[in-house]
Amino acid sequence: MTTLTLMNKKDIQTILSSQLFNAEFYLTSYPDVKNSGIDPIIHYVLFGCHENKNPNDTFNTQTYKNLFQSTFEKDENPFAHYLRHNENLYFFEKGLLQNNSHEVLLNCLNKIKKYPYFNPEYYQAANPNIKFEGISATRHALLYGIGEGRTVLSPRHIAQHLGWECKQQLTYTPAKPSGKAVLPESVGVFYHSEGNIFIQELAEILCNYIKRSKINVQLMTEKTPVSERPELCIFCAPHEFFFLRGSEHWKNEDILTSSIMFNTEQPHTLWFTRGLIYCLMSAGVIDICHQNMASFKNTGLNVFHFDPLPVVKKTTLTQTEKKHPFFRVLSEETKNSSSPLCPLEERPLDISFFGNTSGNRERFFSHNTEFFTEYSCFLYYRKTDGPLTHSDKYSVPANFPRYIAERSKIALNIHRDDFGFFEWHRLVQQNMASGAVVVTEECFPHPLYKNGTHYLSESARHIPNLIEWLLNTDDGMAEAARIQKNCFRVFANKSLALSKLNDIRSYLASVWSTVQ
Amino acid sequence: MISPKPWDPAPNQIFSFCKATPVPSDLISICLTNYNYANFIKECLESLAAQTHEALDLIIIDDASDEADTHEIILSWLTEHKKRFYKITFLANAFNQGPSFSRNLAFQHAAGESVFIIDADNTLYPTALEKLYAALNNGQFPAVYSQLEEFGERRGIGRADIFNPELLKKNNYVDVMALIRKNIWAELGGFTDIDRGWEDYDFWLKFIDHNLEPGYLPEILCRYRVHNKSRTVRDALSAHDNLELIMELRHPTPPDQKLYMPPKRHSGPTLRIIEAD
Repeated sequence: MTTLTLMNKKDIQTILSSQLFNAEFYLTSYPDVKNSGIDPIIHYVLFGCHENKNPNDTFNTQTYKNLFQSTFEKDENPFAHYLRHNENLYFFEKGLLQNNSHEVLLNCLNKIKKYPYFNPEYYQAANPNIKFEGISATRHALLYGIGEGRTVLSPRHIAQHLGWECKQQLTYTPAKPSGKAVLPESVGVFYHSEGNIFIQELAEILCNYIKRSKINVQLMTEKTPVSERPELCIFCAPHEFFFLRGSEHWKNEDILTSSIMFNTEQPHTLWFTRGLIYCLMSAGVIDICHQNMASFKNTGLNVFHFDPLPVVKKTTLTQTEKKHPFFRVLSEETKNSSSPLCPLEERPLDISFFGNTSGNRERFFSHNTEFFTEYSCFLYYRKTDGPLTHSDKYSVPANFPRYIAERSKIALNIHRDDFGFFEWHRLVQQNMASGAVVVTEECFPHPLYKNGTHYLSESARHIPNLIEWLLNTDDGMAEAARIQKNCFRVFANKSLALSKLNDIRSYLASVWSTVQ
Repeated sequence: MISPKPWDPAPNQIFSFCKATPVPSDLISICLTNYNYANFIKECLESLAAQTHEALDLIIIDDASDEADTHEIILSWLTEHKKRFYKITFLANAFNQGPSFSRNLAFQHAAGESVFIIDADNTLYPTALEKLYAALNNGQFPAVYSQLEEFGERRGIGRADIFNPELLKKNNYVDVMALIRKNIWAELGGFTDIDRGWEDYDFWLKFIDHNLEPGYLPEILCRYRVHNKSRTVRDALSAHDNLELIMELRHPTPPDQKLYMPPKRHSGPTLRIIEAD
């Protein structure tokens, strides 16, 4: 029979009145306590603290003892000591995130708790080898799971959230002009110089978009010295930028928490998961997918949907680019000058496609091989590993898909995976803005571009029917011309263009107001 | 009514027949789809002709079967038995369009207010349509289905049960052999083509999305042939996890309701590392 000392009784009183002891956490983390039948608080004071058990998810007994043991009174419980002397300090473990402060980690933890793609039960089920002793599943995911490349996000919760968002009415409503908004004096849009060429293109588009809204902005890379840090940083594709070499000096917590992250990745990939920590830490997230943006909004982040109007202009290839085998393989007719406004019937190519390999695309193309042989096509279905980068001389120039789209009647979009993201870069930037008619598998709704008006969608199996009708019938050609015209009408809409510029200004001002 | 899309390929009409008498008020349309079941379809047709319900409108869609003698087999049977039916429409897709497209096509040609769906490898017991039709009207249901008998490579009874949205979200236990009101089919937007199968499940989940509850008639009336050609065995099984996610995406659980998490299988849903484009 153990008896309580006076100190024990005093400690229990302190801990009880703080209401910070989490009995449920204690019992689930340490099943042996449950079996002992002892009241969890008494157990912690008498035994648990010596066994380095934790009284809740935020206080690490061992860490605290290491720092303060010399100042304890006889028998004094570490957590009670903390409550008496150090309650304004944090004492939880930092896991793999040692370079971050407790404040920032706590902030991230609170965000991930509200993040709809994360579910602690799923995380536990997906990682059966982890012993969640003294740490909650949510905290483990944040401090270890993401960094260790574990399965962190629940595919079913992702599907639920995106599916639900897709059911919501979605129309574009211009933001109200913010009259006296204070803006940063300089903005930097960062991309990694060794990354995917399409990320660089997106960075350039974002930079030009901000520039047109009359904000001082510059394109920067990991090579930019920190001494030239702009007032507000925007990091494109954090899943790439912070993971390729040479970006270490930008991983400073002060920079990360006052910057915007531009997410371009789809959430069911491991790429996305590893970039997630940077999004959670940030001052705001710009997302290329409207439905994905909503998931960040749930956590309380200041979010923005990336949707600038594309600039319609003729694509020209340099003399070097014209030596590329993909240019040389084109027919003379296709090498001739063209423009996005070229009428469909004058375009030499029937169908074009650019995209990397995936199971979905493999099925589609292997089922329809014979169909496509009847048409003049440019189908770059790429199986080589790794992203297209600048360092590779056999890489395709970033503007080449546009060059081809300008000469195609139909631009085909087959989704990489089962989730039908509206792939803005391919659909709008590369294809619609080149005057090609987009034929796609069904897509998530977009605020501006609508199925049947700006593009045409069909199930993969029936896409050949649609293409055949568009290309071979008078009604189909008329429909194609109508779609092409509708797109140009959006791109040439001056009040919409102004409103879009106003949107980005307002957003940058709202983020700036929270970080300056 | 769902109109065909301008690019839907027009089917070839192989055979048609209609009695000159007025349309019976209790006319049931039958949507019979065939893809490479030439060796089974006669058995199916015989079971339809043997129905105790008199007024039948038969629509056969051959989804571009590869078997050379398919049309001949069907045509000779139809010529011999046409008088058993009030109306017959036999259409053939120029090339394979899939079960959703074929069923929608049949609904578009249906003359009755309700349509029974059957694949050419399955059969019915003689009282099936009479009983299902009575149940449809007795309960004022949007659709009704019965229990199945499994035959062929396995003998057994199906898993049909009361239409319970909560259970149905977990997995499908309702076969597509069901009597469905044509106006409900239109309201739901018809069948959707789902790559690798599960269009039946998708169709039933649409009922839940629209707050509609089909009726379950607890009698064993329909016969489901189990064989290695069954599409579920061929395609859908290997894609099971992805299809579950597609169903959740297409018919999401409302955010305020607890999400059903399927038990972990040996090969659970996997996250794949894929390139940024």
